[in-house]
Amino acid sequence: MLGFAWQALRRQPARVAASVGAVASSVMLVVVAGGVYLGLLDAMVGWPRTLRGDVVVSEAGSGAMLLRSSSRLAPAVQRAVRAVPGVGAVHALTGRLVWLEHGEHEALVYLVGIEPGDAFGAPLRVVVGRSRPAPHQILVDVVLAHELGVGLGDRLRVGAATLTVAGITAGGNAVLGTFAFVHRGALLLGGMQAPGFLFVEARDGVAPAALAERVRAAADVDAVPADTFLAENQAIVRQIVLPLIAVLVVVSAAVGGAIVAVTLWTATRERRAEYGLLAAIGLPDGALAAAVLCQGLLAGLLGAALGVAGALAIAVGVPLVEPRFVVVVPLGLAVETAAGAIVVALVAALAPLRALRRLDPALVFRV
Amino acid sequence: MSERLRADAVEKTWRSPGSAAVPAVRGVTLAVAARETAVVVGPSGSGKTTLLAMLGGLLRPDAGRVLLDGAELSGLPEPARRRLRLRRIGFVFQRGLLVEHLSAHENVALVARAAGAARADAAARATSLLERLGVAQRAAAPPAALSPGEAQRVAVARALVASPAVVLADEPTAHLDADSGARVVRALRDLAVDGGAALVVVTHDVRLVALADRVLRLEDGRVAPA
Repeated sequence: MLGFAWQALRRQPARVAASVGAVASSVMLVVVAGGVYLGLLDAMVGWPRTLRGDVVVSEAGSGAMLLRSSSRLAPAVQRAVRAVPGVGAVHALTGRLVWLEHGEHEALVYLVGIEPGDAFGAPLRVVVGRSRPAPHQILVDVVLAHELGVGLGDRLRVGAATLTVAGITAGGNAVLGTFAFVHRGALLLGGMQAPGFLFVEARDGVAPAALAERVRAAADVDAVPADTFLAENQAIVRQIVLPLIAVLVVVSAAVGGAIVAVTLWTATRERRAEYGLLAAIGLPDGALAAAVLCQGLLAGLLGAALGVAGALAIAVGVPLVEPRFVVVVPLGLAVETAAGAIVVALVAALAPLRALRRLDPALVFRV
Repeated sequence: MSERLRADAVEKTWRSPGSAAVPAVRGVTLAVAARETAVVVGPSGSGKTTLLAMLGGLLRPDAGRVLLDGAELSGLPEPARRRLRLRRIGFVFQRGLLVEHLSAHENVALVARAAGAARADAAARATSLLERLGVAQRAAAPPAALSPGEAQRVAVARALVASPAVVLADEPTAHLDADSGARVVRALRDLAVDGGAALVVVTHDVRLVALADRVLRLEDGRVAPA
């Protein structure tokens, strides 16, 4: 029956185009939407993920999200954290959310102060220029550089200070803002001595959750395991984008499924005489159903393959046009969406099957 | 000769809500043996096609019964009648009625495949029949590209490809000119008889009577006196 279904599809190119196109559009939409979502999630923690530590400590009530945190940890609090049993190495992240100005343009950045000899807090990757800024220098992310139209040697203003771009980095675009890097001394001169976060390494055998609990109890701070810290930095994307993605997936599946169902149903209705003829000759209901289901299956397979191919093309093309957006298409997302589309196409084929079951074989004498 | 097909006092009345019942076939009895050709003639509306549909298990009679090789066909449920139609009964309809998106060869081979033949065997049987019917050169053509005579010969090949016990033809010459019609029906009879099948042809073309071993004349659903 697969051959029969294939012939039926092959000889009806317009109908095939409608069915396959509907499935392909739905798949592409869902995969791209899912890919944008995953890209956003990934971007939010691209750089924070590199910060070494099992527990992340911030000022009580300030929140763990870097791009909206006002956390400041006083020296006494830092000492109290270091004194908690089970605490190993402690890394301080000194940084602030600031407005960066270049001519008429402004951008929100999380300015990170890094020590010249310390790898902690360094950029994820350097595209060009220095990897460690000198005082009065700044390293900016490639996305921010693209937005502001700046390159090496250009000057940017942060409050009253003027900084020279000494390096372009990558992986520091967190969509809602970017991470930029300056010499830690520059922050101290700007009155930003207190670190915002402490990244605490647990001694061997100490569970991060238990250590976070101890730190909270001992120092009146917020302390969460690193996984929770990363999840909180992604939370805003989950809260805002995920419902939109869910709606998009449901609408895409419904529209794609409806088009396939209507196309197959119309085709089956139009070919009622033909199915009646096959029933009269003696082909069983199962064979006729298989023919229709095979058409749904083939439309689903072809549409899913085209849709995934289109989504991959978009995933490659979008960042070239707009570097802020990264579309991540993992194999699992593509396979699950394609499988979902095939199921929708098969379910859509069930509608015409009902019409087939009611077919009267004696119809053949009335055509 | 063994009796292939038998109708015993079959009756069928058409009923639709709000309309008077219309008796289509009234107490018709018919028996056709293997290698025998029966021609059923009569004017339009005399019940020929309804009788043929009952003989082929497409309709269940309201009364009476139809036997195929001695076993009752008419009392079986539709799936069982469908299996018998596929393997034991061949149909030739008016205008050929071929599946539009399949080639002539595929139309014939489809039935053999559905009846259980292996792909290669089905293809070989289809090719052989199309050759014997003189349309092998049109095997790859879609039905739309066939002349009415060619389409009807392909339909004959389809009816015979599963080596049926009975072949039923409904007005096989209705849309053909006299020569084409005669050639098609003669080929149908020769091949059906060669294969040991019983052939029943329903027609209002009285010239086909010459091909018959027995003739049944229907009028108002009843067998008319000879």
